[in-house]
Amino acid sequence: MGSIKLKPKARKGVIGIKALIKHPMETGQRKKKGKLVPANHIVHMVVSHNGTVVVDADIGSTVSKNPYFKFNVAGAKGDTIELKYKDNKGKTGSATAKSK
Amino acid sequence: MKRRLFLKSAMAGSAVATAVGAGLLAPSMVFANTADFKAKSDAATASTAAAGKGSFKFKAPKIAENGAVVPVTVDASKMEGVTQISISVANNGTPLAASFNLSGAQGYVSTRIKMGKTSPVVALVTAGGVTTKVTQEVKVTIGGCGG
Amino acid sequence: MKKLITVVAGIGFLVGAASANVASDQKDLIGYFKALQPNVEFADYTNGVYAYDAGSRDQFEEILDGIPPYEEAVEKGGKEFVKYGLNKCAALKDPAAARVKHPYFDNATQKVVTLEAVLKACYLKQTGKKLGSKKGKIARISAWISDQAAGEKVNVKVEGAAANAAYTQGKAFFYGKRGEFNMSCADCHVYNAGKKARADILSPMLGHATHVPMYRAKWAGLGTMQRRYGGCLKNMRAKPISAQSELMNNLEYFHQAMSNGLEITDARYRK
Repeated sequence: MGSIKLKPKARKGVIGIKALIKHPMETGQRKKKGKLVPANHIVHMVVSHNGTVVVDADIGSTVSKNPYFKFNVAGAKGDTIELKYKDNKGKTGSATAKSK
Repeated sequence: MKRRLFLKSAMAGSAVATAVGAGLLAPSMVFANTADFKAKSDAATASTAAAGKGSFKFKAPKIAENGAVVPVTVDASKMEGVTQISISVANNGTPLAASFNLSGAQGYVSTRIKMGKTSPVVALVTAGGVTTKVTQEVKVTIGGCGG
Repeated sequence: MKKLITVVAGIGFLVGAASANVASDQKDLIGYFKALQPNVEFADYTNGVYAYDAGSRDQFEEILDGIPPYEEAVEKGGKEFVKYGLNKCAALKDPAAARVKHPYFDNATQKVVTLEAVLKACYLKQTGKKLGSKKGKIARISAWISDQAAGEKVNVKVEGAAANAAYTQGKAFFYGKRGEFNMSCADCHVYNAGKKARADILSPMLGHATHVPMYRAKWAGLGTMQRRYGGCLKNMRAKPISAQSELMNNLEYFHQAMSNGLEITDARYRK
């Protein structure tokens, strides 16, 4: 699906994980030219640190278009952060980045 | 549906609230296979009613610049054992915006939410089995200018 | 201010003293805004309305601190700059310098040349196709170019009689009443800056040019300064004026000159 910008940055023993996912996050209630735009949004997201799941999130359509998230996890420069998501249509996306 | 009935009867004795508070109402546990988001939203609403006031930081604007992109941050990093953070927009059709189960990440979440109109926004934090809340009203206005 | 309008009326053609107009006009404007908001420093005007209102400034900073919504578009603009061979045009070889130079008065053609005009000309030369003036590709590429100049100061030059005349016309437009509401740009962005128009806080015109092209949450996208002009004219129910027309370019010339000395920024998010 959409691209993911994943920016983990370590500072003083904590990795600040910033993520921006390109996704329309349609609620299914919006009308365009009189017709309802079908729901199309991320429903589930998982963030892992060096292979271990640290965030397991249920996401609703109230989250803004092109959702942005920031999390903090204890860690260091060079650690691997992975983000995976799934939307209501079953499409998935993922990104991996080494923490700066 | 069975799940709805369970919720309705449970609400009376706030067993659901307790279940949420004890971290038992985690994804794919009570609600078996599919993530029934609406049910999770109902559970969060019940939890909000039962929760006491939290001491964590919840940052949300008093007047949103743009209802489509309202930045919100929950910072409970000073609390021990945070297992879940959720954010709900009370006046939205399905209030729950997102629910984050933390299993290693710190008690901190920042994101951007959509709001159709002025509403209280509720942050729920579950730590050590106890759920507390902080509420902030966010005003949403329709701007007039700018082409 | 009445004083400024009198200056406009009395200018005529001042040979050699042209640059002095810009300096003294800007001095008047800075003085005016200082009196309006004594706690806001000149340099703060780079962030315009966010220097005035704490609540919206907080949101601005949250957005910037996160991943700004325009980041990807601007990066794309950088790729497009190379992809379409725009780096081959002499005027754009040094993108940072190009941003600082434009708009400028070209004595050869006797016209104000904007950065977007140069981009359009170069794009046409390299691809044979036309580029718009307000949004999409041109906004992305122009934003990327502007990013290269982040930290440098706005430095519009107005030298010579003809340049001065263009500047004066731009100024007259800015202070002139128009549209169904019979309002001028100055009515909102000078005389009522900091006050609210419905739910919007009116931004001061000082600093407007530091962050263009800008990402507006309302557009959910990037737009050039002249996209904004078009929108404003529409809101004011004034007769539409084509982007990149002489009048709009002269307005931009004056408008940007009033931000001389302010830092160009890559924080281009606005409501």
